[in-house]
Amino acid sequence: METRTIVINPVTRIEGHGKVTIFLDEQGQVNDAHFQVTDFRGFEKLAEGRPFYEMPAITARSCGICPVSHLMASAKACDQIMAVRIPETAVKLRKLMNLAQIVQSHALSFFHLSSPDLLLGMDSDPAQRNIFGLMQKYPDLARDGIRLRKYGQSIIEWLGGKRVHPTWVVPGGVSAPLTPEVRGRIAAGWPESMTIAQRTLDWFKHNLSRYSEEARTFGNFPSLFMGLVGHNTGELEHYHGRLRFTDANGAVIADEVDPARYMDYIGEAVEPFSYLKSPYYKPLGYPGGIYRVGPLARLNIIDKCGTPKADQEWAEFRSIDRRAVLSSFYYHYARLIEIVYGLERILEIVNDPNILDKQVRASAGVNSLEGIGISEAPRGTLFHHYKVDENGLIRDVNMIIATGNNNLALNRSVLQVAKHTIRSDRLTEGMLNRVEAVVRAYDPCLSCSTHAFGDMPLHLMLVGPDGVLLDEVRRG
Amino acid sequence: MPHTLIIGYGNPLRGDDGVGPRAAELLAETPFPDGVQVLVCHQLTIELAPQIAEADRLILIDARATGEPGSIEQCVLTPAIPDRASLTHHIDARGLLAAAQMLYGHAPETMLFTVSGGSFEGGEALSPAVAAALPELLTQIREAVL
Repeated sequence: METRTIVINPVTRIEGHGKVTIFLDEQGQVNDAHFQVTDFRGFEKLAEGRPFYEMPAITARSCGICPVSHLMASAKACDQIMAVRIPETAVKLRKLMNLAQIVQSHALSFFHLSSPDLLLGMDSDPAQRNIFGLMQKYPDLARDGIRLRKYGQSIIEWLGGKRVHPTWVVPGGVSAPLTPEVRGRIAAGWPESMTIAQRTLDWFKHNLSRYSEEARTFGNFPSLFMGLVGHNTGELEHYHGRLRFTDANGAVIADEVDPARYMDYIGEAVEPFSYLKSPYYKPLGYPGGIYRVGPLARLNIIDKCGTPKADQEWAEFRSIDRRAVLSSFYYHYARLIEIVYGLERILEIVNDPNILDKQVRASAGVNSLEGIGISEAPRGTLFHHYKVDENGLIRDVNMIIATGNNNLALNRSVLQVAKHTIRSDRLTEGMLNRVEAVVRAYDPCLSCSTHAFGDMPLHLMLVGPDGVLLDEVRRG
Repeated sequence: MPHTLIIGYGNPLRGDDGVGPRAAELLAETPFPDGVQVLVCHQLTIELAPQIAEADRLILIDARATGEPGSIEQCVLTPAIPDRASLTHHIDARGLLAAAQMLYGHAPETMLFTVSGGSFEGGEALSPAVAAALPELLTQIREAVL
């Protein structure tokens, strides 16, 4: 066999093209910045004409990283089309898979994408400031990240089968009950995962003071926050519940909003420079109604987490600010608390006395021509809205994706970092690193948000007041 | 029989990008000797590293964006650290081998099979040229395994 070096054209694994354009004014100061997503796949169109019950499996394929989140929102929209109340145990099992998804996705984001920035330094060589640099310098931490992610992934596989896109979550519930064997495996892997999660959170808190500049400048601005909270409990909730909006002071401005009424509260603007929609809070208009979703938002809007360890951590987290915690740098912190919360809830569910019940699926035909399913994906609130004909064939699909919800905030954050770091008509590594790092704080999933393919090198452009391109850097 | 891991990866909703998963599924339907394991993935991710480190041999199956549609290539891969930080959630094949080596002390002997795609548009069907290449692809992989 001949050995040679080849170029592997990346046609699979991929999340869209991210482009950042920074505009300077006459004085050479940063005037504006756009975070752009330039690929488009038109997933909504692809689904038209398909039977509604295929939607969980189809939409899950819009992403190889968060298929479970799409499964949840999609199955919930389908439940509504069938107009059924799914069995209690099925709800718990869906929650179990959703929490496993939160744990694995947050572990990937923190350990493998963001911790190199935090541990190796924002000004370190990008050739080193990545997961491989981390492996060389902090192999224990890298292995911790892999173990924690593997635990979440394994739960998903054990429940849903080996495939990336499990078909276990179905309209009406789940397709098979939990077996005692899988329950045992989940319980057996739990202690090590909780030890890793707690150790990492303690380490992060201990080092928090080292990142005061990042906390001050990484998307630190007033905005609204949105997410699901437990119905009548105000607890942290990722699967079901009601929408709540809070303002930058931490005051609740809309509460107990039935997810079916999301269109009364959320408008969707489209900017010509990006395929990513810009949702906003309707009562405040566009772009004043800027809001954030995801871990930071969820911890800002709730009254409590509802589990002992996470509640303790949450109280400490909220003491950062008397009002809402405003800096997007704290997305990392919030992610680590949500991992602890997710693990606590996972144990609670597998210890539930009724969790092995065999009744896990309700069946029905088309009883409603419209269904809206909402869940909290790792990156934030995810909306699936379907309309069907009387035969159950999809007529119309609207999806608002977590990263889309954060689009305005991502733009604002990139602008803030650019204003803080860019002082000339040339781009430097340090500038690029910080722009990358602030984007990473949101853990955007561009394949979900635009349903796009293509590699995602970051393309950074600096544009003068006359529209002339002054400098550009491509990474990747 | 050395422990052999076969991974077919790609997006089955993106036309010929689904050739890796499709081939892996077909391989999994036919019996292999003990010690051969077949996985289907959407993309390569870091948590595959410990599993890969336990294998003596690794066979990867992927689509290729260039070349005559349906043409099959095979090559040996060795670990290599990518030279950039990533904003994405996947890891490339040689990077994954490097991760297995660095964190778990072993990177298996690895062979990559690629099939040039004709169409990567939305849809679950493989293009005729790629579908026609599947039997030959499976034969080549089986020969490599056995």
